[in-house]
Amino acid sequence: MAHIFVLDDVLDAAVLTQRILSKKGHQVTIFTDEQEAMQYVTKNQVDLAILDINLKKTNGLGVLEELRRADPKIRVIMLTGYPTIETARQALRLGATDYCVKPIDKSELEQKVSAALGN
Amino acid sequence: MTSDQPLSPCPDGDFSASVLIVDDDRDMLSMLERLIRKKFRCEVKTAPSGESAWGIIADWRPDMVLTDVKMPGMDGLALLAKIKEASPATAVIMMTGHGTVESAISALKNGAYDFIQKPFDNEHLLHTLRRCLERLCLLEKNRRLQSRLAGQEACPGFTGASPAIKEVSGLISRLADTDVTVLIRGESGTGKELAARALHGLSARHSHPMVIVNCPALPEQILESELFGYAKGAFSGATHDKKGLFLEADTSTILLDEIGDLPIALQTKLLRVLQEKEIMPLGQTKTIRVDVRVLASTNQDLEEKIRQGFFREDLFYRLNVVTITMPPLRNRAEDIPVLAHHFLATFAAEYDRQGLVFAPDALPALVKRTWKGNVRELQNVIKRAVLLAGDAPISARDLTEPGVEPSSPRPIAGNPHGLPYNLAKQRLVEEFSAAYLAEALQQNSGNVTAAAQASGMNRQAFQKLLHRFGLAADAFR
Repeated sequence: MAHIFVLDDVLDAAVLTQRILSKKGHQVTIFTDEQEAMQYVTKNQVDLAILDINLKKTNGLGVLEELRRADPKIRVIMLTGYPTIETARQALRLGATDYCVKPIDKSELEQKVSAALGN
Repeated sequence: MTSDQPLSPCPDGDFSASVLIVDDDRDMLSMLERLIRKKFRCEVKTAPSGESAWGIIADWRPDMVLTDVKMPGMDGLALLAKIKEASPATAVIMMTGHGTVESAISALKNGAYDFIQKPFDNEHLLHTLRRCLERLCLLEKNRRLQSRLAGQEACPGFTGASPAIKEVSGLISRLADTDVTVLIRGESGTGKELAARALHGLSARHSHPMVIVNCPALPEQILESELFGYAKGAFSGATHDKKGLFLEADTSTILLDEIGDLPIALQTKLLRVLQEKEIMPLGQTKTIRVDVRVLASTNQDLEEKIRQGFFREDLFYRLNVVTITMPPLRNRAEDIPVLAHHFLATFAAEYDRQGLVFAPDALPALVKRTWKGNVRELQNVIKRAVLLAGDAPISARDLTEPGVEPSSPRPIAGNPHGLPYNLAKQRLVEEFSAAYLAEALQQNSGNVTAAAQASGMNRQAFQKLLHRFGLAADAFR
């Protein structure tokens, strides 16, 4: 199954996502700090990243850009509680596979992840 | 160029884009049209609905479509889907005043290049458009380079794989995207104009039409005003300004065909254009800068013309920066079958004679034959055969001119050399006439009336001729 990492400044939100996706058999690692997440990515092979947009220090779009630069093959789903057309536009232009809005339904999350992983 | 003038989005200034604007709001449509025309050098069309936009796209492929999302009937998203299906390379930018995150995501995921929220300020819109056009320009450049790499493909119009033609097409590909002046030499019928077209077609100037000047076709005075133009009142009859061909070819390519026949006075003026990149129309005191790539072609021995004083040496060296020599057909005989098939297919399609094929003896006969007129002669022979062909395959016989031996003129019976021309001709005509009349009588068993009719003459005239050539009808009965 796929190796997924979740970055969300709210730990509970990240844990929730982890639970849902682990049940589907994925290996899920969670972070609340973008720097730790980036360090992890440089050392580990990750298939999919699920990124919040409003983070502690920077925002998820910056992380998206950096991730894509480090590994052009990585799939990224943006997950935000504050959707705007502008961030959606930027995210997709930067190569995000999808842009989802919180609160997200369990089955929708499963389906989006499955689509992003291409199966 | 000042900042008020429309800008080409490409740094090298040679990409002119086409843009279609779609919006159901007429005011918005005309505002956008004006804005885009003012800021970019591009062709602009507008459509007030998705349906009419789709109608326009059917026979005009814009590089970029700027469309509103919410429109009655076919909306922007439906139009986007249709465009992406028909022409994936077209960039589509969506605009909306009722934007939702979902619609933006859906548009971008379906291949829209960008998504702009109304109301927008013009700077934001222009920035987006500029970036999109820059990308299109890079894609276009990339396409050109790719096609150049593809080698054979690179030279449209060249058929054949002989080393001689490969060398030429390689040279053309390498020279095409430069501004270097090229002298194209070669016998008549070898494809000098084709080479010029390939050079132009593969260059960044290809979107502008190439201008071809046939130097010997125009008398000296006219040629000068044709080339450089004139100002109103330059001479009696000059009732208005005339744009010369060099100005016409600005940002494009000019081909000076048969440069060897350019009058010496004009050679001096041409030299000036090549050196200074400026022209001075007749009757004008100011020079005009032109950005023209000059190609020249000739089948003459320019070096010999220089020795005789008919061609300026300095012009020769100016033109002869790089020379492309088109190989005569005899140096690429292995290409004849490919060329023959190519022309057969072309003309069969043109004259609606699909299904024509060559008989087994046709190609060997073509390869063996001498082609003084090179590819053009081959082309004409096949064109003629296609036009005259029945349902049978085209055989070697169909590919020869009636009464003309394939290789050289028929040797004349007897020994005409040594005789004055008139006498030799008279003797030949006499021989022909006697043989013709005898044949006619033979066919008609000595019946003079019938033989005369078959020859398209009246009986009296035929009799007269028989008498003159000492033939008796009785002998054939």
